[in-house]
Amino acid sequence: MRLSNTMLTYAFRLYVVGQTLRAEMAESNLRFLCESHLDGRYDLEVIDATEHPERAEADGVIATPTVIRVAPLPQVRVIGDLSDHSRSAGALGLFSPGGPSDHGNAP
Amino acid sequence: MTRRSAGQIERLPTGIQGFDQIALGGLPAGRSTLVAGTTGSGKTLFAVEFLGRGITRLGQPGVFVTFEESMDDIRRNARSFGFDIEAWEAAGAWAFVDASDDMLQREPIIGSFGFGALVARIQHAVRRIKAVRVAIDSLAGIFTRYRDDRVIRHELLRLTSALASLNLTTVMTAERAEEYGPITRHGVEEFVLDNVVILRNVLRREQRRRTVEIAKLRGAAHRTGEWHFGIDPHAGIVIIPAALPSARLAPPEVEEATRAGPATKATESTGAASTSLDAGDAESIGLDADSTRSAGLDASGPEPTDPVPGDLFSNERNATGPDSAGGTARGLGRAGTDSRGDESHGNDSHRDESHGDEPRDDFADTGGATGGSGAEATDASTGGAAPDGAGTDGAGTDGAGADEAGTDGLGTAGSSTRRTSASGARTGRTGIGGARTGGTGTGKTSTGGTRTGEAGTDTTSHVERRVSSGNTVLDRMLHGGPYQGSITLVAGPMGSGKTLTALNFAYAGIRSGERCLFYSFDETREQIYRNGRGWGIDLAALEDAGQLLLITRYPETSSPEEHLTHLRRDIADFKPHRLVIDSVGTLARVVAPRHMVKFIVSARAIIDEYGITCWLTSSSFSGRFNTMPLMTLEIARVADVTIALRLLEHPGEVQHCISVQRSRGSGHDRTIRRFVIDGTGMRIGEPMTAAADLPPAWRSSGRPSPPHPADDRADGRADDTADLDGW
Repeated sequence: MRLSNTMLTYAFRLYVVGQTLRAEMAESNLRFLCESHLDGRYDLEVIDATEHPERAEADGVIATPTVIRVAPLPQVRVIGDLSDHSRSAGALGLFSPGGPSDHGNAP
Repeated sequence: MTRRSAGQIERLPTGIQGFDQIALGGLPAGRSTLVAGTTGSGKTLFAVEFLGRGITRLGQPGVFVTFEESMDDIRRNARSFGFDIEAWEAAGAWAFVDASDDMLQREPIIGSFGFGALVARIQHAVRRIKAVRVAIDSLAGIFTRYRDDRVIRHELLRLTSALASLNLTTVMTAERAEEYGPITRHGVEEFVLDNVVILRNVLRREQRRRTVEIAKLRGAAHRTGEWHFGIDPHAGIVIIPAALPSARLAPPEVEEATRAGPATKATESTGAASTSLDAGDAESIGLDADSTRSAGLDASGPEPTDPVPGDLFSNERNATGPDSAGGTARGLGRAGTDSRGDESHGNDSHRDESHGDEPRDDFADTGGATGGSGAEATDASTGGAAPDGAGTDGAGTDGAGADEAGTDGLGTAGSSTRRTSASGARTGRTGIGGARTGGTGTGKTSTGGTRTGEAGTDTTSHVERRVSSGNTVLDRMLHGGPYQGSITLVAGPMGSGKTLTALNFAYAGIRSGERCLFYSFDETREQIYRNGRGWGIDLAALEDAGQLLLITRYPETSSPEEHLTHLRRDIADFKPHRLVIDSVGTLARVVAPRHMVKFIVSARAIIDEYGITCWLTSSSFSGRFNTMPLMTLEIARVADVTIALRLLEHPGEVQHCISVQRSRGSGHDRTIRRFVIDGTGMRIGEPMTAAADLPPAWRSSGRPSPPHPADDRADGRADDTADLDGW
């Protein structure tokens, strides 16, 4: 499954703070986007910055939620709860399974 | 937020020079303060210094959050001010939270967000190094990056409350668009923050003027208005609280250092021969000059008996600042005076002891005054133990100055307030200790003295000791030389010998083991060396020996504030006993006349702080005050001693003459004397008489411009005095 179309595996790091509604929104939105665009070919690590401030430090994160696309390179970042799916997909470089040129802007 | 209900707001001294004076103790502890300013106003430096001074002076670790400059930039810039951030980082005293912005990689914002990670990182850093202070530089970075003001405002609120819950004292900087307008560009921070400090950097009359203003300090007293400051390339921000009552700026250790040592020698020359283990004390009291002058004048009645005013003062001081020993002594000068005790000064042994409330505060003042013999005043001050310094006389041994006060007081008790001030200080200390009423130890035995609560005081006990001007005749004309810590102005036209008097003054100090700081705004180093050689003074050798620091600088090279910060730094570094500025009048080229008083008063505050005896020269057209440039007049107002040099045009020759125009707190010679300048320096002759010595032009009343007809020299003098006082 994972290696189906392309060899690309997507990896994301999502920084949140605590168990807030905003954190949950961000995670569910991100998972939804990945499921719909990547067909499950992704890794997602959710990091609570209050528990791991040194990791937020290392990644230079100050706003939460922040999602970092760790792979493929280059790294891409988006701040916010990703409530606008099409913009989020575009910003994270997610292509829908249909066509690689579709930057998530298709309906 | 934790302390809001605590009534009195606790202060955290910033350690920034002068700031704690205008903030009356420092920033509100455990809270956030906004420091707003335009680009280049010194915000980042303020933030860096806030942490740096906390580390060096109070051992308080700090976290620096940077939104704009990179950590490397900050480290590098701070290094030039002597802050070794890397060393502090290694020692765990300083931690960065790098939130600096990479403009090229600005992430899009989609949906709602907060600064939770930032707060978490700050908390992490704070816990790691046990920080007491946080600096955030600058909020503008957040605004330009995240744009949504409403969100940012909300998040700032969360941030400040998170910081407050950790009991951190925080400085946040923010950008201003214009010097006089909305506090900040984004207009939201000031609603979030209770405390606002504004830094300005205004171009006015072609001069950059930096000022700092405390716009609000909610619930906490502070001084209002704009205060000048300079950015010293080595010392950082230096705020100049001119003539503040608590104008003691330097850390106490500097004071001590200044006073240690050779100061003792200075006093010998006065003949009063009081010795000065206690130079420090006497001088520090002298610091009050300004404050007491204003505060204590009305209190000069001979018989006030109520010690309370003194106590009030001390309380105020307690409230106002991190005053340490020396600062304490200062207010005391006001507190009480022993106006008649000194009459019996031959065996006047003050046993002042104050305890009462103070834990340990007595001091045995084994009254120095063993007659005019000038024995040492060994005033064993065991005080200084009381932590708040209120009643404690930090290290004070007075005595020397007081001795002399006693002597003078003999003749003029009651009338000469100045004379009594030193003894006032001595007893005042008692009063402030609140213990006038009940000594636990030795009772107070002021032999022959009636203690008066609030007398005299006026000025400065540093004036009690005389120093030599370097010319014995001139010393005689001043009835013993200028007082230590006084400012002497020598005014005269070009070529009248001003620089020579300055060199004499400097050399006299050096000969007696003192250090002298010599500023020349007129001449180059080589010219001054040459002048010195002409009179047999090898200035270069004295410089090599570390007794002289000659600084030649053109006035235009710096702004007035910078001149002051240079002056302050040079004084702090070199710790001179004497200061010469030749000629201060040339500063007029960079200081607008209306700012001159402020400038001189600021300079005076610096000089007073260290108890330095100062010799200024300034040009005049003829040597009479009514023909002086405005500049010289402004300086004359501040000076304690004013000496006029003149050139008299006799038929066939130009003669020099000298007269003392005034000498605060002392009698002086009222004659005009001729002098000649030759290879040995300045030789002052006998008083001139009208018939024999004055040029015809002076005797005929027809000529307007040169000085008055001086057929009677006393009258001539009186006129001059009137001229001066009239100004």
